[in-house]
Amino acid sequence: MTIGFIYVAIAMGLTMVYGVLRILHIAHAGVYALGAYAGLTLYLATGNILAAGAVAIAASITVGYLIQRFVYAPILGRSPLIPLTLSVAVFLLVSEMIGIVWGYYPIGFHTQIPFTTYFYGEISITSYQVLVIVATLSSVLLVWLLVNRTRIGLASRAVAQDSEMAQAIGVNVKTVIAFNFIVGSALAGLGGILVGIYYSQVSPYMGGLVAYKGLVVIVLGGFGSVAGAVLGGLILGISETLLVSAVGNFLPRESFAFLVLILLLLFRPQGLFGRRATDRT
Amino acid sequence: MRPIVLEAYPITLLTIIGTYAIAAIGLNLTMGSAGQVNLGQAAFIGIGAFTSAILTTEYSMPFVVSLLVSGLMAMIGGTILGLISVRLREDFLAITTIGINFVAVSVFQYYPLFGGSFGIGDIPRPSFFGFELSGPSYAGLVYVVLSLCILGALWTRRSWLGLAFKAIKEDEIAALSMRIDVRKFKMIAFAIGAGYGGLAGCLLAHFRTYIVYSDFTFSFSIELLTIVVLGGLGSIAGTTMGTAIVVLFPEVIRPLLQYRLVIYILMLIVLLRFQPEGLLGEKSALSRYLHSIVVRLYRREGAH
Repeated sequence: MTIGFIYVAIAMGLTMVYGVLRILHIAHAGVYALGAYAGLTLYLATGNILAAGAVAIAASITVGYLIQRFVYAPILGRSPLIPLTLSVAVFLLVSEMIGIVWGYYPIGFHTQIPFTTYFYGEISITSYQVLVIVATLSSVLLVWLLVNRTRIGLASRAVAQDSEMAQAIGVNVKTVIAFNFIVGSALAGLGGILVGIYYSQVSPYMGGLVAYKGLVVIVLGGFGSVAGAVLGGLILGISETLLVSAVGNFLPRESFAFLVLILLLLFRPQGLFGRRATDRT
Repeated sequence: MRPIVLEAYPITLLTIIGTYAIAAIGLNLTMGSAGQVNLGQAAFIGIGAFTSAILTTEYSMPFVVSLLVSGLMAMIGGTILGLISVRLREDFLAITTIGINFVAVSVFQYYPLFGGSFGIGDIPRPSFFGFELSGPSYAGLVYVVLSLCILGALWTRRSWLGLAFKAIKEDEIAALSMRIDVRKFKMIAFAIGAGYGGLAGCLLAHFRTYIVYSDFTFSFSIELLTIVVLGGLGSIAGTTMGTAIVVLFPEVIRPLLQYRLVIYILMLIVLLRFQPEGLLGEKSALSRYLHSIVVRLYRREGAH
Protein backbone atom coordinates (compact mmCIF):
# COMPACT_ATOMS: atom_id res chain seq x y z
CA MET A 1 0.00 0.00 0.00
CA THR A 2 2.67 2.46 1.05
CA ILE A 3 4.72 1.46 -1.97
CA GLY A 4 1.77 2.63 -4.06
CA PHE A 5 2.43 6.18 -2.90
CA ILE A 6 6.04 5.90 -3.97
CA TYR A 7 4.92 4.63 -7.38
CA VAL A 8 2.78 7.74 -7.56
CA ALA A 9 5.76 10.05 -7.04
CA ILE A 10 7.88 8.22 -9.63
CA ALA A 11 5.08 7.93 -12.17
CA MET A 12 4.16 11.58 -11.87
CA GLY A 13 7.71 12.52 -12.70
CA LEU A 14 7.69 10.18 -15.69
CA THR A 15 4.34 11.54 -16.83
CA MET A 16 5.56 15.13 -16.75
CA VAL A 17 8.53 14.24 -18.91
CA TYR A 18 6.46 12.10 -21.26
CA GLY A 19 3.83 14.79 -21.57
CA VAL A 20 6.14 17.34 -23.17
CA LEU A 21 8.77 15.20 -24.88
CA ARG A 22 6.99 11.92 -25.70
CA ILE A 23 10.06 10.05 -24.51
CA LEU A 24 9.90 6.92 -22.36
CA HIS A 25 12.31 8.31 -19.81
CA ILE A 26 14.01 5.22 -18.40
CA ALA A 27 16.93 7.33 -17.18
CA HIS A 28 14.43 8.54 -14.60
CA ALA A 29 15.48 5.46 -12.64
CA GLY A 30 19.06 6.73 -12.59
CA VAL A 31 17.94 10.14 -11.38
CA TYR A 32 15.98 8.42 -8.66
CA ALA A 33 18.89 6.27 -7.48
CA LEU A 34 21.23 9.26 -7.55
CA GLY A 35 18.79 11.23 -5.42
CA ALA A 36 18.75 8.45 -2.86
CA TYR A 37 22.56 8.26 -2.74
CA ALA A 38 23.02 12.01 -2.50
CA GLY A 39 20.51 12.14 0.33
CA LEU A 40 22.19 9.24 2.11
CA THR A 41 25.62 10.84 1.86
CA LEU A 42 24.44 14.09 3.37
CA TYR A 43 22.48 12.26 6.04
CA LEU A 44 25.56 10.29 7.07
CA ALA A 45 27.58 13.53 7.18
CA THR A 46 25.13 15.76 9.02
CA GLY A 47 22.45 13.53 10.46
CA ASN A 48 19.78 15.95 9.37
CA ILE A 49 17.07 14.16 7.42
CA LEU A 50 15.42 17.31 6.07
CA ALA A 51 18.70 18.62 4.69
CA ALA A 52 19.28 15.17 3.18
CA GLY A 53 15.92 15.34 1.46
CA ALA A 54 16.69 18.80 0.10
CA VAL A 55 20.07 17.67 -1.24
CA ALA A 56 18.51 14.55 -2.76
CA ILE A 57 16.03 16.69 -4.64
CA ALA A 58 18.66 19.26 -5.65
CA ALA A 59 20.97 16.54 -7.00
CA SER A 60 18.13 14.91 -8.93
CA ILE A 61 17.13 18.22 -10.46
CA THR A 62 20.69 18.90 -11.59
CA VAL A 63 21.13 15.50 -13.21
CA GLY A 64 17.66 15.52 -14.72
CA TYR A 65 18.27 18.92 -16.26
CA LEU A 66 21.67 17.89 -17.62
CA ILE A 67 20.13 14.79 -19.22
CA GLN A 68 17.46 16.89 -20.86
CA ARG A 69 19.86 19.59 -22.03
CA PHE A 70 22.68 17.43 -23.38
CA VAL A 71 21.10 14.12 -24.30
CA TYR A 72 17.47 14.59 -25.25
CA ALA A 73 17.36 18.11 -26.62
CA PRO A 74 19.70 17.50 -29.59
CA ILE A 75 17.89 14.41 -30.86
CA LEU A 76 14.28 15.50 -30.66
CA GLY A 77 12.14 14.59 -33.62
CA ARG A 78 14.07 11.39 -34.36
CA SER A 79 12.51 7.96 -34.43
CA PRO A 80 11.38 7.32 -30.83
CA LEU A 81 13.68 4.31 -30.58
CA ILE A 82 16.79 6.47 -30.48
CA PRO A 83 15.86 8.56 -27.42
CA LEU A 84 14.71 5.33 -25.80
CA THR A 85 18.05 3.61 -26.37
CA LEU A 86 19.89 6.69 -25.17
CA SER A 87 17.67 6.85 -22.12
CA VAL A 88 18.52 3.29 -21.14
CA ALA A 89 22.19 4.01 -21.78
CA VAL A 90 22.07 7.07 -19.52
CA PHE A 91 20.37 5.01 -16.81
CA LEU A 92 23.15 2.41 -16.99
CA LEU A 93 25.79 5.16 -17.01
CA VAL A 94 24.40 6.84 -13.90
CA SER A 95 24.08 3.49 -12.11
CA GLU A 96 27.65 2.52 -13.01
CA MET A 97 29.00 5.87 -11.81
CA ILE A 98 27.14 5.40 -8.55
CA GLY A 99 28.71 1.95 -8.34
CA ILE A 100 32.20 3.37 -8.82
CA VAL A 101 31.74 6.22 -6.35
CA TRP A 102 29.76 4.49 -3.61
CA GLY A 103 30.44 0.80 -4.33
CA TYR A 104 28.31 -1.79 -6.07
CA TYR A 105 26.82 -3.34 -2.95
CA PRO A 106 23.70 -2.11 -1.20
CA ILE A 107 24.43 0.42 1.55
CA GLY A 108 22.39 0.56 4.73
CA PHE A 109 20.32 3.68 5.24
CA HIS A 110 19.40 3.67 8.90
CA THR A 111 17.53 6.74 9.98
CA GLN A 112 16.90 7.74 13.55
CA ILE A 113 13.20 8.30 13.03
CA PRO A 114 11.44 6.86 16.08
CA PHE A 115 9.79 3.68 14.93
CA THR A 116 6.31 3.73 16.39
CA THR A 117 3.14 2.03 15.34
CA TYR A 118 -0.16 3.82 15.65
CA PHE A 119 -3.40 1.90 15.96
CA TYR A 120 -6.78 3.05 14.82
CA GLY A 121 -9.08 0.18 15.62
CA GLU A 122 -8.13 -2.56 13.16
CA ILE A 123 -5.72 -0.46 11.16
CA SER A 124 -2.10 -0.13 12.18
CA ILE A 125 0.31 2.27 10.59
CA THR A 126 4.01 2.83 11.23
CA SER A 127 5.77 6.16 11.40
CA TYR A 128 7.67 5.29 8.20
CA GLN A 129 4.41 4.82 6.38
CA VAL A 130 3.13 8.13 7.71
CA LEU A 131 6.31 9.82 6.48
CA VAL A 132 5.97 8.33 2.99
CA ILE A 133 2.29 9.14 2.68
CA VAL A 134 2.60 12.70 3.99
CA ALA A 135 5.63 13.48 1.84
CA THR A 136 4.06 12.06 -1.32
CA LEU A 137 0.66 13.59 -0.80
CA SER A 138 2.08 17.05 -0.15
CA SER A 139 4.35 16.87 -3.19
CA VAL A 140 1.51 15.62 -5.38
CA LEU A 141 -0.59 18.51 -4.19
CA LEU A 142 2.25 20.93 -4.87
CA VAL A 143 2.73 19.60 -8.39
CA TRP A 144 -1.00 19.71 -9.01
CA LEU A 145 -1.02 23.38 -7.99
CA LEU A 146 2.02 24.08 -10.16
CA VAL A 147 0.42 22.49 -13.20
CA ASN A 148 -3.08 23.86 -12.75
CA ARG A 149 -2.67 27.20 -11.04
CA THR A 150 0.44 28.81 -12.47
CA ARG A 151 1.31 30.36 -15.81
CA ILE A 152 4.09 27.91 -16.55
CA GLY A 153 1.79 25.05 -15.63
CA LEU A 154 -0.71 26.27 -18.17
CA ALA A 155 2.07 26.58 -20.73
CA SER A 156 3.24 23.07 -19.97
CA ARG A 157 -0.25 21.68 -20.51
CA ALA A 158 -0.39 23.53 -23.80
CA VAL A 159 2.94 22.00 -24.90
CA ALA A 160 1.76 18.56 -23.85
CA GLN A 161 -1.29 18.92 -26.08
CA ASP A 162 0.38 20.35 -29.15
CA SER A 163 3.88 21.68 -28.87
CA GLU A 164 3.98 23.33 -32.30
CA MET A 165 0.74 25.17 -31.67
CA ALA A 166 1.97 26.24 -28.24
CA GLN A 167 5.12 27.62 -29.83
CA ALA A 168 3.04 29.45 -32.38
CA ILE A 169 1.09 31.31 -29.73
CA GLY A 170 4.27 32.41 -28.01
CA VAL A 171 5.00 29.74 -25.41
CA ASN A 172 8.70 29.25 -24.81
CA VAL A 173 8.74 25.50 -25.37
CA LYS A 174 12.35 25.08 -24.25
CA THR A 175 11.66 26.67 -20.88
CA VAL A 176 8.57 24.55 -20.45
CA ILE A 177 10.47 21.34 -21.21
CA ALA A 178 13.18 22.32 -18.73
CA PHE A 179 10.50 23.13 -16.15
CA ASN A 180 8.87 19.75 -16.56
CA PHE A 181 12.20 17.99 -16.29
CA ILE A 182 13.04 19.89 -13.12
CA VAL A 183 9.73 19.10 -11.46
CA GLY A 184 9.79 15.49 -12.67
CA SER A 185 13.35 14.94 -11.47
CA ALA A 186 12.57 16.51 -8.11
CA LEU A 187 9.80 13.94 -7.71
CA ALA A 188 12.24 11.18 -8.64
CA GLY A 189 14.73 12.38 -6.03
CA LEU A 190 12.00 12.51 -3.41
CA GLY A 191 10.87 8.99 -4.34
CA GLY A 192 14.46 7.80 -4.18
CA ILE A 193 15.16 9.04 -0.69
CA LEU A 194 11.76 7.83 0.57
CA VAL A 195 12.42 4.34 -0.75
CA GLY A 196 15.90 4.46 0.74
CA ILE A 197 14.45 5.30 4.15
CA TYR A 198 11.59 2.85 3.79
CA TYR A 199 13.73 -0.17 2.95
CA SER A 200 16.71 1.22 4.95
CA GLN A 201 19.08 0.54 2.09
CA VAL A 202 20.12 1.84 -1.32
CA SER A 203 21.86 0.10 -4.24
CA PRO A 204 23.14 1.35 -7.62
CA TYR A 205 20.48 -0.39 -9.72
CA MET A 206 17.62 0.19 -7.28
CA GLY A 207 15.78 2.27 -9.87
CA GLY A 208 15.41 -0.35 -12.59
CA LEU A 209 12.30 -2.21 -11.61
CA VAL A 210 10.66 0.90 -10.20
CA ALA A 211 11.13 2.74 -13.48
CA TYR A 212 9.53 -0.04 -15.50
CA LYS A 213 6.68 -0.19 -13.04
CA GLY A 214 6.41 3.58 -13.29
CA LEU A 215 5.86 3.09 -17.02
CA VAL A 216 3.12 0.58 -16.23
CA VAL A 217 1.55 3.16 -13.95
CA ILE A 218 1.45 5.84 -16.60
CA VAL A 219 -0.12 3.37 -19.01
CA LEU A 220 -2.73 2.43 -16.42
CA GLY A 221 -3.45 6.11 -15.92
CA GLY A 222 -3.42 6.95 -19.62
CA PHE A 223 -0.33 8.74 -20.87
CA GLY A 224 0.38 12.28 -19.83
CA SER A 225 -2.38 12.75 -17.28
CA VAL A 226 -1.26 13.71 -13.79
CA ALA A 227 -4.47 12.58 -12.09
CA GLY A 228 -4.25 9.30 -13.98
CA ALA A 229 -0.72 8.76 -12.71
CA VAL A 230 -1.86 9.23 -9.13
CA LEU A 231 -4.75 6.78 -9.48
CA GLY A 232 -2.67 4.33 -11.51
CA GLY A 233 0.08 4.28 -8.87
CA LEU A 234 -2.34 3.61 -6.06
CA ILE A 235 -4.19 0.96 -8.05
CA LEU A 236 -0.96 -0.84 -8.88
CA GLY A 237 0.28 -0.70 -5.29
CA ILE A 238 -3.00 -2.01 -3.90
CA SER A 239 -3.67 -4.62 -6.58
CA GLU A 240 -0.17 -6.08 -6.23
CA THR A 241 -0.74 -6.62 -2.54
CA LEU A 242 -4.31 -7.85 -2.91
CA LEU A 243 -3.62 -10.14 -5.88
CA VAL A 244 -0.85 -11.90 -4.01
CA SER A 245 -3.14 -12.61 -1.08
CA ALA A 246 -6.11 -13.50 -3.31
CA VAL A 247 -4.67 -15.84 -5.95
CA GLY A 248 -1.49 -16.82 -4.18
CA ASN A 249 1.99 -16.88 -5.65
CA PHE A 250 1.58 -18.37 -9.08
CA LEU A 251 4.17 -15.92 -10.36
CA PRO A 252 6.80 -13.79 -8.62
CA ARG A 253 5.43 -10.48 -7.45
CA GLU A 254 7.58 -8.47 -9.85
CA SER A 255 5.72 -9.68 -12.92
CA PHE A 256 2.20 -9.10 -11.62
CA ALA A 257 2.25 -5.48 -12.68
CA PHE A 258 3.11 -6.43 -16.23
CA LEU A 259 0.60 -9.27 -16.42
CA VAL A 260 -2.14 -6.92 -15.24
CA LEU A 261 -0.95 -4.39 -17.80
CA ILE A 262 -1.02 -6.80 -20.74
CA LEU A 263 -4.46 -8.08 -19.86
CA LEU A 264 -5.74 -4.55 -19.39
CA LEU A 265 -4.37 -3.36 -22.71
CA LEU A 266 -6.07 -6.25 -24.49
CA PHE A 267 -9.43 -4.88 -23.45
CA ARG A 268 -8.72 -1.17 -23.12
CA PRO A 269 -5.88 -0.28 -25.51
CA GLN A 270 -6.03 3.38 -24.48
CA GLY A 271 -5.25 2.69 -20.80
CA LEU A 272 -7.57 2.79 -17.85
CA PHE A 273 -8.27 6.51 -17.83
CA GLY A 274 -6.88 7.60 -21.17
CA ARG A 275 -9.13 8.99 -23.82
CA ARG A 276 -9.24 7.23 -27.13
CA ALA A 277 -6.30 8.42 -29.16
CA THR A 278 -7.51 10.59 -31.97
CA ASP A 279 -4.23 12.14 -33.06
CA ARG A 280 -2.87 8.95 -34.62
CA THR A 281 -4.68 6.11 -36.39
CA MET B 1 45.32 -25.26 -19.51
CA ARG B 2 46.47 -21.90 -20.82
CA PRO B 3 46.96 -22.61 -24.54
CA ILE B 4 43.52 -24.23 -24.73
CA VAL B 5 41.90 -21.16 -23.23
CA LEU B 6 43.73 -18.86 -25.63
CA GLU B 7 42.61 -20.95 -28.55
CA ALA B 8 39.04 -21.38 -27.43
CA TYR B 9 38.44 -17.77 -26.47
CA PRO B 10 38.24 -16.19 -29.95
CA ILE B 11 36.08 -19.09 -31.12
CA THR B 12 33.74 -18.50 -28.18
CA LEU B 13 33.48 -14.81 -29.04
CA LEU B 14 32.85 -15.63 -32.69
CA THR B 15 30.07 -18.05 -31.75
CA ILE B 16 28.47 -15.49 -29.47
CA ILE B 17 28.63 -12.83 -32.19
CA GLY B 18 26.98 -15.26 -34.62
CA THR B 19 24.07 -16.12 -32.33
CA TYR B 20 23.50 -12.53 -31.22
CA ALA B 21 23.58 -11.41 -34.85
CA ILE B 22 20.77 -13.83 -35.74
CA ALA B 23 18.57 -12.48 -32.96
CA ALA B 24 19.47 -8.87 -33.79
CA ILE B 25 18.74 -9.30 -37.50
CA GLY B 26 15.34 -10.68 -36.58
CA LEU B 27 14.76 -7.71 -34.32
CA ASN B 28 15.85 -5.37 -37.09
CA LEU B 29 13.26 -6.91 -39.43
CA THR B 30 10.54 -6.16 -36.89
CA MET B 31 11.79 -2.72 -35.90
CA GLY B 32 13.82 -1.43 -38.81
CA SER B 33 11.85 -2.80 -41.73
CA ALA B 34 8.30 -2.84 -40.37
CA GLY B 35 8.76 -0.08 -37.78
CA GLN B 36 7.24 -2.10 -34.93
CA VAL B 37 8.88 -1.69 -31.54
CA ASN B 38 9.87 -4.86 -29.76
CA LEU B 39 11.71 -4.42 -26.47
CA GLY B 40 11.24 -8.05 -25.47
CA GLN B 41 13.30 -9.96 -28.00
CA ALA B 42 15.11 -11.77 -25.16
CA ALA B 43 11.80 -13.41 -24.24
CA PHE B 44 11.65 -15.09 -27.65
CA ILE B 45 15.30 -16.10 -27.44
CA GLY B 46 14.36 -17.64 -24.11
CA ILE B 47 11.39 -19.47 -25.62
CA GLY B 48 13.65 -20.93 -28.30
CA ALA B 49 16.40 -21.84 -25.84
CA PHE B 50 14.10 -23.56 -23.35
CA THR B 51 12.11 -25.34 -26.06
CA SER B 52 15.24 -26.85 -27.51
CA ALA B 53 16.72 -27.60 -24.08
CA ILE B 54 13.59 -29.47 -22.99
CA LEU B 55 13.18 -31.33 -26.28
CA THR B 56 16.78 -32.54 -26.37
CA THR B 57 17.24 -33.39 -22.68
CA GLU B 58 13.79 -34.80 -21.85
CA TYR B 59 12.74 -36.29 -25.16
CA SER B 60 16.18 -36.71 -26.78
CA MET B 61 15.06 -35.19 -30.06
CA PRO B 62 17.66 -34.71 -32.77
CA PHE B 63 19.15 -31.21 -32.94
CA VAL B 64 17.79 -30.27 -36.37
CA VAL B 65 14.22 -31.04 -35.29
CA SER B 66 14.57 -29.09 -32.05
CA LEU B 67 16.14 -26.15 -33.90
CA LEU B 68 13.13 -25.94 -36.19
CA VAL B 69 10.63 -26.49 -33.39
CA SER B 70 12.22 -23.80 -31.23
CA GLY B 71 12.09 -21.33 -34.10
CA LEU B 72 8.45 -22.28 -34.61
CA MET B 73 7.55 -21.90 -30.93
CA ALA B 74 9.11 -18.45 -30.82
CA MET B 75 7.18 -17.58 -33.98
CA ILE B 76 3.95 -18.59 -32.28
CA GLY B 77 4.90 -16.38 -29.33
CA GLY B 78 5.66 -13.56 -31.76
CA THR B 79 2.29 -13.99 -33.44
CA ILE B 80 0.57 -13.63 -30.09
CA LEU B 81 2.54 -10.44 -29.44
CA GLY B 82 1.55 -9.34 -32.93
CA LEU B 83 -2.11 -9.95 -32.08
CA ILE B 84 -1.74 -7.64 -29.10
CA SER B 85 0.28 -5.11 -31.05
CA VAL B 86 -2.32 -4.40 -33.70
CA ARG B 87 -4.46 -2.85 -31.00
CA LEU B 88 -1.81 -0.60 -29.50
CA ARG B 89 -0.16 2.72 -30.21
CA GLU B 90 3.61 2.99 -30.39
CA ASP B 91 4.52 3.78 -26.78
CA PHE B 92 1.94 1.43 -25.31
CA LEU B 93 3.40 -1.28 -27.51
CA ALA B 94 6.93 -0.52 -26.27
CA ILE B 95 5.86 -0.90 -22.66
CA THR B 96 3.84 -4.03 -23.39
CA THR B 97 6.85 -5.69 -24.97
CA ILE B 98 8.90 -4.81 -21.87
CA GLY B 99 6.12 -6.42 -19.86
CA ILE B 100 6.18 -9.57 -21.97
CA ASN B 101 9.88 -9.89 -21.27
CA PHE B 102 9.36 -9.62 -17.52
CA VAL B 103 6.46 -12.07 -17.54
CA ALA B 104 8.38 -14.59 -19.65
CA VAL B 105 11.37 -14.42 -17.31
CA SER B 106 9.21 -15.01 -14.25
CA VAL B 107 7.51 -17.96 -15.95
CA PHE B 108 10.94 -19.46 -16.71
CA GLN B 109 11.94 -18.85 -13.11
CA TYR B 110 8.81 -20.11 -11.44
CA TYR B 111 7.80 -23.28 -13.23
CA PRO B 112 9.80 -26.48 -12.70
CA LEU B 113 9.35 -27.40 -16.37
CA PHE B 114 12.00 -24.76 -17.15
CA GLY B 115 14.26 -25.87 -14.32
CA GLY B 116 13.13 -23.06 -12.02
CA SER B 117 15.94 -21.05 -10.46
CA PHE B 118 18.49 -23.73 -11.32
CA GLY B 119 17.86 -23.71 -15.06
CA ILE B 120 18.49 -26.64 -17.36
CA GLY B 121 21.92 -28.18 -17.64
CA ASP B 122 23.57 -30.97 -19.64
CA ILE B 123 22.12 -29.77 -22.92
CA PRO B 124 23.79 -32.00 -25.52
CA ARG B 125 26.00 -30.59 -28.25
CA PRO B 126 24.48 -31.35 -31.65
CA SER B 127 26.03 -34.25 -33.55
CA PHE B 128 25.78 -35.14 -37.19
CA PHE B 129 26.53 -38.72 -38.31
CA GLY B 130 28.21 -39.48 -35.00
CA PHE B 131 30.44 -36.41 -35.13
CA GLU B 132 29.81 -34.09 -32.20
CA LEU B 133 30.06 -30.39 -33.00
CA SER B 134 32.00 -28.24 -30.55
CA GLY B 135 34.42 -25.35 -30.67
CA PRO B 136 35.24 -24.37 -34.26
CA SER B 137 32.77 -26.79 -35.85
CA TYR B 138 29.95 -25.42 -33.70
CA ALA B 139 30.92 -21.89 -34.68
CA GLY B 140 30.73 -23.13 -38.28
CA LEU B 141 27.19 -24.36 -37.71
CA VAL B 142 26.21 -21.02 -36.17
CA TYR B 143 27.57 -19.15 -39.17
CA VAL B 144 25.77 -21.46 -41.61
CA VAL B 145 22.49 -20.64 -39.83
CA LEU B 146 23.45 -16.96 -39.72
CA SER B 147 24.11 -16.91 -43.46
CA LEU B 148 20.75 -18.53 -44.14
CA CYS B 149 19.12 -15.97 -41.87
CA ILE B 150 20.85 -13.07 -43.64
CA LEU B 151 19.74 -14.46 -47.00
CA GLY B 152 16.22 -14.81 -45.64
CA ALA B 153 16.28 -11.23 -44.37
CA LEU B 154 17.60 -9.90 -47.68
CA TRP B 155 14.94 -11.83 -49.57
CA THR B 156 12.24 -10.56 -47.20
CA ARG B 157 13.31 -6.98 -47.75
CA ARG B 158 13.24 -7.27 -51.53
CA SER B 159 10.00 -9.24 -51.73
CA TRP B 160 6.43 -7.95 -51.65
CA LEU B 161 6.57 -8.68 -47.91
CA GLY B 162 9.34 -6.12 -47.49
CA LEU B 163 7.44 -3.58 -49.54
CA ALA B 164 4.35 -4.07 -47.39
CA PHE B 165 6.50 -3.67 -44.23
CA LYS B 166 7.96 -0.48 -45.59
CA ALA B 167 4.52 0.88 -46.42
CA ILE B 168 3.33 0.17 -42.87
CA LYS B 169 6.44 1.75 -41.39
CA GLU B 170 6.10 4.95 -43.40
CA ASP B 171 2.38 5.52 -43.00
CA GLU B 172 -0.16 3.02 -41.73
CA ILE B 173 -3.20 4.87 -42.98
CA ALA B 174 -1.75 5.28 -46.44
CA ALA B 175 -0.86 1.58 -46.44
CA LEU B 176 -4.39 0.71 -45.43
CA SER B 177 -5.77 2.82 -48.24
CA MET B 178 -3.63 0.82 -50.68
CA ARG B 179 -5.47 -2.27 -49.44
CA ILE B 180 -2.47 -3.57 -47.54
CA ASP B 181 -3.73 -5.70 -44.67
CA VAL B 182 -1.84 -3.83 -41.94
CA ARG B 183 -2.87 -6.20 -39.14
CA LYS B 184 -1.73 -9.28 -41.00
CA PHE B 185 1.64 -7.83 -41.95
CA LYS B 186 2.30 -6.51 -38.46
CA MET B 187 1.74 -10.01 -37.14
CA ILE B 188 4.01 -11.46 -39.78
CA ALA B 189 6.70 -8.91 -38.86
CA PHE B 190 6.56 -9.91 -35.22
CA ALA B 191 6.44 -13.61 -36.05
CA ILE B 192 9.53 -13.49 -38.28
CA GLY B 193 11.49 -11.38 -35.82
CA ALA B 194 10.60 -13.69 -32.95
CA GLY B 195 11.36 -16.77 -35.05
CA TYR B 196 14.91 -15.49 -35.64
CA GLY B 197 15.13 -14.98 -31.89
CA GLY B 198 14.03 -18.57 -31.31
CA LEU B 199 16.71 -19.93 -33.64
CA ALA B 200 19.33 -17.82 -31.87
CA GLY B 201 18.06 -19.09 -28.51
CA CYS B 202 18.36 -22.70 -29.59
CA LEU B 203 21.92 -22.16 -30.85
CA LEU B 204 22.81 -20.35 -27.63
CA ALA B 205 21.40 -23.15 -25.45
CA HIS B 206 23.39 -25.87 -27.24
CA PHE B 207 26.50 -23.71 -27.18
CA ARG B 208 26.42 -22.97 -23.45
CA THR B 209 24.94 -26.42 -22.59
CA TYR B 210 23.43 -24.72 -19.53
CA ILE B 211 20.68 -22.11 -19.47
CA VAL B 212 18.83 -20.38 -16.67
CA TYR B 213 16.00 -17.84 -16.59
CA SER B 214 18.34 -14.94 -15.82
CA ASP B 215 20.01 -15.33 -19.23
CA PHE B 216 16.95 -13.83 -20.90
CA THR B 217 16.17 -10.72 -18.88
CA PHE B 218 15.21 -7.29 -20.14
CA SER B 219 18.85 -6.17 -20.16
CA PHE B 220 19.55 -8.74 -22.91
CA SER B 221 16.71 -7.22 -24.93
CA ILE B 222 18.28 -3.83 -24.40
CA GLU B 223 21.64 -5.13 -25.59
CA LEU B 224 19.98 -6.31 -28.80
CA LEU B 225 18.15 -3.00 -29.15
CA THR B 226 21.50 -1.25 -28.78
CA ILE B 227 22.98 -3.44 -31.51
CA VAL B 228 20.16 -2.63 -33.90
CA VAL B 229 20.14 1.11 -33.21
CA LEU B 230 23.94 1.33 -33.25
CA GLY B 231 24.20 -0.55 -36.52
CA GLY B 232 21.42 1.47 -38.07
CA LEU B 233 17.72 0.70 -38.24
CA GLY B 234 16.90 -1.32 -41.32
CA SER B 235 20.48 -2.13 -42.26
CA ILE B 236 21.37 -5.82 -42.15
CA ALA B 237 25.08 -5.19 -42.68
CA GLY B 238 24.94 -2.53 -39.97
CA THR B 239 23.32 -4.96 -37.53
CA THR B 240 26.02 -7.55 -38.12
CA MET B 241 28.70 -4.92 -37.62
CA GLY B 242 26.87 -3.57 -34.55
CA THR B 243 26.85 -7.05 -33.02
CA ALA B 244 30.57 -7.42 -33.49
CA ILE B 245 31.17 -4.01 -31.88
CA VAL B 246 28.84 -4.57 -28.95
CA VAL B 247 30.34 -8.00 -28.18
CA LEU B 248 33.99 -7.18 -28.86
CA PHE B 249 34.39 -3.63 -27.57
CA PRO B 250 34.01 -4.52 -23.88
CA GLU B 251 36.65 -7.22 -24.44
CA VAL B 252 39.04 -4.76 -26.09
CA ILE B 253 38.84 -2.29 -23.22
CA ARG B 254 39.05 -4.99 -20.55
CA PRO B 255 42.27 -3.48 -19.05
CA LEU B 256 40.23 -0.50 -17.87
CA LEU B 257 38.68 -2.80 -15.27
CA GLN B 258 35.86 -1.16 -13.38
CA TYR B 259 35.72 1.87 -15.66
CA ARG B 260 35.12 -0.32 -18.66
CA LEU B 261 31.33 -0.26 -18.57
CA VAL B 262 31.28 3.50 -18.04
CA ILE B 263 33.61 4.11 -20.98
CA TYR B 264 31.59 1.72 -23.11
CA ILE B 265 28.28 3.39 -22.33
CA LEU B 266 29.79 6.85 -22.77
CA MET B 267 31.05 5.85 -26.20
CA LEU B 268 27.60 4.59 -27.07
CA ILE B 269 25.91 7.77 -25.90
CA VAL B 270 28.32 10.00 -27.79
CA LEU B 271 27.94 7.90 -30.93
CA LEU B 272 24.15 7.97 -30.84
CA ARG B 273 24.09 11.61 -29.85
CA PHE B 274 26.07 12.69 -32.90
CA GLN B 275 25.12 9.90 -35.27
CA PRO B 276 21.52 9.03 -34.41
CA GLU B 277 21.05 7.12 -37.67
CA GLY B 278 23.49 4.48 -36.45
CA LEU B 279 26.65 3.44 -38.22
CA LEU B 280 25.18 2.09 -41.43
CA GLY B 281 21.63 3.42 -41.28
CA GLU B 282 20.07 5.41 -44.08
CA LYS B 283 21.68 8.86 -44.36
CA SER B 284 24.39 8.10 -41.78
CA ALA B 285 27.85 9.58 -42.40
CA LEU B 286 29.54 6.23 -43.02
CA SER B 287 26.91 4.92 -45.41
CA ARG B 288 26.91 8.22 -47.33
CA TYR B 289 30.69 7.98 -47.60
CA LEU B 290 30.52 4.39 -48.87
CA HIS B 291 27.76 5.38 -51.25
CA SER B 292 29.83 8.22 -52.65
CA ILE B 293 32.73 5.83 -53.28
CA VAL B 294 30.45 3.47 -55.17
CA VAL B 295 29.01 6.35 -57.19
CA ARG B 296 32.51 7.59 -58.08
CA LEU B 297 33.56 4.12 -59.19
CA TYR B 298 30.47 3.88 -61.38
CA ARG B 299 31.19 7.27 -62.97
CA ARG B 300 34.75 6.23 -63.78
CA GLU B 301 33.43 3.05 -65.36
CA GLY B 302 30.97 5.10 -67.37
CA ALA B 303 33.64 7.51 -68.62
CA HIS B 304 35.58 4.79 -70.38
